[in-house]
Amino acid sequence: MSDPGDRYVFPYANLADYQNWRKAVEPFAARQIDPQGKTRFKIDRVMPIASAGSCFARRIAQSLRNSGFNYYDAEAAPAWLSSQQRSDYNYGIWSARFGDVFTTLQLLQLLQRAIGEFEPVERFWIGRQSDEILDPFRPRIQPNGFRSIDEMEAQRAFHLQAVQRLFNDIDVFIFTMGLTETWCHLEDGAAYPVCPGRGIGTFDASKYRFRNLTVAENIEYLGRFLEIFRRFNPRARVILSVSPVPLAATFEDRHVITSTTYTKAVLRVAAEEIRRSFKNVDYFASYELVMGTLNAGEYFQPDRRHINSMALDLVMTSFYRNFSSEPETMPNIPNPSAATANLDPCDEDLLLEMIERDSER
Amino acid sequence: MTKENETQLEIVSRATPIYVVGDSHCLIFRDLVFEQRGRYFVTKAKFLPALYARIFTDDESAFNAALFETLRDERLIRPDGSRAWAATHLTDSPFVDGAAGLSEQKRSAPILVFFLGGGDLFYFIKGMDAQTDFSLDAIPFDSGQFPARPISAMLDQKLVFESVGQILGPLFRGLRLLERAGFSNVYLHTIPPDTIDDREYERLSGHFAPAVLRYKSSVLFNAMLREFTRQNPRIGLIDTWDKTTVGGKRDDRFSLDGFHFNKLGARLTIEQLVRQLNGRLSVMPSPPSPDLIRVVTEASRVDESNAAPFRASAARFSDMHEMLEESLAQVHSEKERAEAELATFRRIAEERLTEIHTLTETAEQRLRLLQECHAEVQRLLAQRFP
Repeated sequence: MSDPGDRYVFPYANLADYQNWRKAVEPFAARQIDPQGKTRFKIDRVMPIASAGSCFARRIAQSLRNSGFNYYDAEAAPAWLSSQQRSDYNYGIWSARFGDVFTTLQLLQLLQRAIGEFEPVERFWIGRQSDEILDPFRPRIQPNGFRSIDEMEAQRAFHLQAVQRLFNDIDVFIFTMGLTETWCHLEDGAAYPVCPGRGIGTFDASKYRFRNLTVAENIEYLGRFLEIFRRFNPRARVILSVSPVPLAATFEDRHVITSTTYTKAVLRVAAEEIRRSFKNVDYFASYELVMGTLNAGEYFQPDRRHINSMALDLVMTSFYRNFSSEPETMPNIPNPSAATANLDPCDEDLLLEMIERDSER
Repeated sequence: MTKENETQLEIVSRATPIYVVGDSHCLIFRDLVFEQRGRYFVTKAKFLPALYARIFTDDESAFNAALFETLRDERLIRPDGSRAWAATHLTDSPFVDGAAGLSEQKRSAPILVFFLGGGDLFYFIKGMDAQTDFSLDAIPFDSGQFPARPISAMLDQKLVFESVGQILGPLFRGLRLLERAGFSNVYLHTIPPDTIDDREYERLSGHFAPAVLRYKSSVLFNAMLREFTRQNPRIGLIDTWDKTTVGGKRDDRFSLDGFHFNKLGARLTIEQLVRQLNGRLSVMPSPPSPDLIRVVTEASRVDESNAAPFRASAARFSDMHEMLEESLAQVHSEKERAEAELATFRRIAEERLTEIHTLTETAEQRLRLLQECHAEVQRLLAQRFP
């Protein structure tokens, strides 16, 4: 119970600097502003850390790995793979070879599939060639697909074992939420990372349906994921963030910027609600850092959608400053010269490629 | 017996050198002398500890420096400029001719056996987690022969094949270079089986890997070596795997330690090599000496009690006769192949054709000589011992 003497103290009298615009924003140049407030826990270089999420999550993973953190890789590449092969077969991009996980529903179903609580009815997709077998839940994981359904399913079984191992072993899980729009199977609700069609499966309106997940749905899916995760790994902590990368395209009949605003708002609210409900969850303000209007768009590449390396440096500097147990050893000065560096495209970019393809299979 | 007599030396024979080049599997071959029907071979081990298949040649098809120096120091190649080289035995040089003359040797392609891939196999195995597996659809391998183990990752077969191809690629490129340069006696040796005992393997290598993974990897590597020689028939293959395994596992009779052949294993290698050499052009058996022919002719003056040695000689001539007929058949076959390739490799084929013609003539002369000898012996035997 608070001291009765505090009764008449003005509630804003003891604000931390980061709570006050004049102290947190006004004195600083855009690049010096760090919108992250107090954090609930710290991470060190010993803790096994895994991550998943949208395209933006790839950058976080890359930075953690390069900064000497114990980035967990449940499906490590054999040492003799060339860098080209690693890239082609998607090794070392995520904590396991699950591909981009754009929605909370995909994340929940990934964990459910890994522990055997969900077995989707759709077993495989066909690629551009009739003998190109794809895993619908990670269609770009294998260049030119698998040679047979059996081979794909055998590989997937080992992959899901690795995912289960991952969630058992890690201390920290970072999830970057990217999208609310998704395509699901009508029969069992399985959520896919891309809309099937045009050489990545075949679109069939009687099999698939579009969904734009609401705040309530995102809270439900994320909450269920966290409950299952906690069931077998009670010590693990979770950091949520919202990807600042706008939508590549929207299926809603409205401007893509309007859809982007909706999506990011929904995800931001869901993240906040979850943070309030789960004590082991914190929020990382990467979205705010990049999307702040103060930046005048200087954190984006010429396509005004992908963030540039300078923004990534700023985001990760903020991450280490606020979440690392030894922030003084972490790099904290962005390198403006890297601002124009290109980063690899991800699965959401595939949607744009698919839209531009001439004909439906 | 005087001291002078004790130190008296006799020249036994001139031995054909066999260069065994590569990793530690070569070591057992150091200075071994083999004899087959009066023909001697001496193995020269050229152990290059830092040479692996994956660095046999570089991206610009230049030989690994240690390998290049070894070939040069053995006078097998002659540098020609900073990077270029030529096969010494094909070099048009009075010096080389002179050296050949002084050593009483014909200029012929040296015999080179490459033992490589073992170090790369270790690198391949070490690069995988012990619980990793991969499938080998097209290559027979019975994993049921080995203790079961937990598997946590299954590598894509296409990726594995592609990777092993990349690992062995520089070796294959280098062997093709040698072959095109006129080294017509190049042989690639399969990787011998290592110990089945996981603890012994770990003790010797410092790395744990279950036998099933090691053997599966060996089978894959050897399949790649076989496929390479199948596609490049001018490069021979010494494949001792089947003879040194029982039920897919190593037969310890041929093993020195956890990894290497003993002398019995080395003998298997050379036996297989000599069998192949006997079928090749450039190392046909020497012609019988005039002395031997004279001795055979003198058999007409001996009686029944001395017939056995002459019968043995007759049998030996008969064997050699067959061997020469085989060689002649191969000469004709080689000739046809060389002619077929003439359009593409005109210069090389013409050189080879010249060599083949010479060898054909020699072989035919030897055959005629042997036929005469054989007939003479038969006649004498019939006359003396009806």
